[in-house]
Amino acid sequence: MAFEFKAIPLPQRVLFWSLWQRHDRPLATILPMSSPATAPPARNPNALRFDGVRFGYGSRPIVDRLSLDVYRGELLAIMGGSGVGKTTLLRLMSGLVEPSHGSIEIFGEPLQTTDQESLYAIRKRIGLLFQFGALFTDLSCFENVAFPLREHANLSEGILRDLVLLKLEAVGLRGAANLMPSEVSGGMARRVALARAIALDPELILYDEPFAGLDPISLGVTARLIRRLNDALGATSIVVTHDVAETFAIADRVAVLAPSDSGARLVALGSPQELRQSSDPYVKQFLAGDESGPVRFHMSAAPIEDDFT
Amino acid sequence: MKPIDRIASLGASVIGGVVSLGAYARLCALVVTRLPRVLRRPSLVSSQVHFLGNYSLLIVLISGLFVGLVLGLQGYYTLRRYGSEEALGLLVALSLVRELGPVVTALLFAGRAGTSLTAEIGLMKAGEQLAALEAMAVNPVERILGPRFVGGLVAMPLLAALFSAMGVLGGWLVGVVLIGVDAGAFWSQMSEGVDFWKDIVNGVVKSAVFGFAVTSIALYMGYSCRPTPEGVSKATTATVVAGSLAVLGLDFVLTALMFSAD
Repeated sequence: MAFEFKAIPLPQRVLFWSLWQRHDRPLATILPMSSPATAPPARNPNALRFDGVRFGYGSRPIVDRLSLDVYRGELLAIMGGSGVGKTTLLRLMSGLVEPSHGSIEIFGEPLQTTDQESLYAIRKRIGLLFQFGALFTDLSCFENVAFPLREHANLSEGILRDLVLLKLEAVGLRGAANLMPSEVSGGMARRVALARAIALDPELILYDEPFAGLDPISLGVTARLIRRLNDALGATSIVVTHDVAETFAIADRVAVLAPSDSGARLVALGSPQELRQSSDPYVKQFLAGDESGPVRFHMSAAPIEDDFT
Repeated sequence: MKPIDRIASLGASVIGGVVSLGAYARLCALVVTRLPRVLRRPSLVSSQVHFLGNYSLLIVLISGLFVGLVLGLQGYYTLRRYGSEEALGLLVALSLVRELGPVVTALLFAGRAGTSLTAEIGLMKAGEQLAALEAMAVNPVERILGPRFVGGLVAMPLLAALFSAMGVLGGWLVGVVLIGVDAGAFWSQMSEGVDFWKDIVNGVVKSAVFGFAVTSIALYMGYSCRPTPEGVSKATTATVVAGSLAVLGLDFVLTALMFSAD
């Protein structure tokens, strides 16, 4: 008699899938689903380690001597002004670009490897949400979410369908399964992209500006969803964002990057409470949104009279 | 501009050209070495053969018919001077199978399929879809470029064959049906004068080489373009220019190699 995945009740199906996915890992890593979101992160082994990382595009430095440990199970937010290099940091974390100096380790394995198979093995454990979703425009929302499963998991169509619908349900878009990316709004497209990013139940989820351009309702729902996914999947999440209020509500720790002539530098790292009490002038300016401070709103230029005389 | 700056600019252009050529060769090598993995997923390849071949079919068939009609007319006017109208079938067939079929099809292919390939890959790059593939541990060379490359390689000889067939039909329509050249002489001269290996196989080899050139250039232009609307637009134009010039240059080389013993 054929195995009927649909015959299993929904919660058990999710658990079944988690177990099936993580059969090679200890049970403790599978079932942190009930852990409260507010609990302080245990100092688990590192999910990610930056050690003296430098990176630049051509002669333009972007990241300068960045050292950072991200612990398993935590939700780390990376904040900083526009153009400071936050997205580049995510690209470094996913191995899309390589640092010129220093090293990056993911789950204890070096990311800079010449062996593509090893790099891809690490990437299968990472989910990356791009700023604009990066959905495949010729595939429906359903097929976009199914894509990584079709590529990496040899599943029957029935199980694949159930999993995709579960992922879409998790982001509230099961009803959009048959729509094309051009038929959904930008915010919805990003949620579909989030469903795709978590399709393989990644251990590390990277979010690039997940709150940009969202209305207040979607923003709040997305923030809580990111926290919930992190806890339900037992994953580690890194969120690159500008949004102070929502980020401080969900993050375990916050890292603040500040620009410098030699590239972005880490100027503060701590819990949201610690950052609120920070005396660092850049952190204070960034959190308060002040025009006056070490970062100038206006790009340096000749006096305005020179241009209007 | 100072003379020294002009020399520097010329040098930069030459270096840029050599770098692009090297990057193109590297991408070709990457695609070719990935072919065994690409061929393990025939559905991806067949959909690209359909996309590149089937969608170019109409323009190729119509062009082939008109080229055949013109060849029939021009050939008849020339052969009539020497009283050799019966050789019209041979002239039409050889012209099409050896030269016009592969070359004109490749030029049409560059304009129709090559540009769409470049624009598609370029827009995927601009929309971070290629980066998303990489992030999902899916090799874009294997998943996106490979099937399209094989699709172009398979579609081009088939399209060239259909172009030649339509051209012969056009020549027959003008020569036999309209002008009244003897049908028996038209077909018998053709069947006796066209050599399978020397003419037809060489024509197929030519069209396969052109398919390789046009498809690989189109893929390279899309893959290496700047991910902006302007970059994609420039890459699309460059595909037609570089693809057409490559076809014409290769045609001369191949013709010299294949038919020099005649």
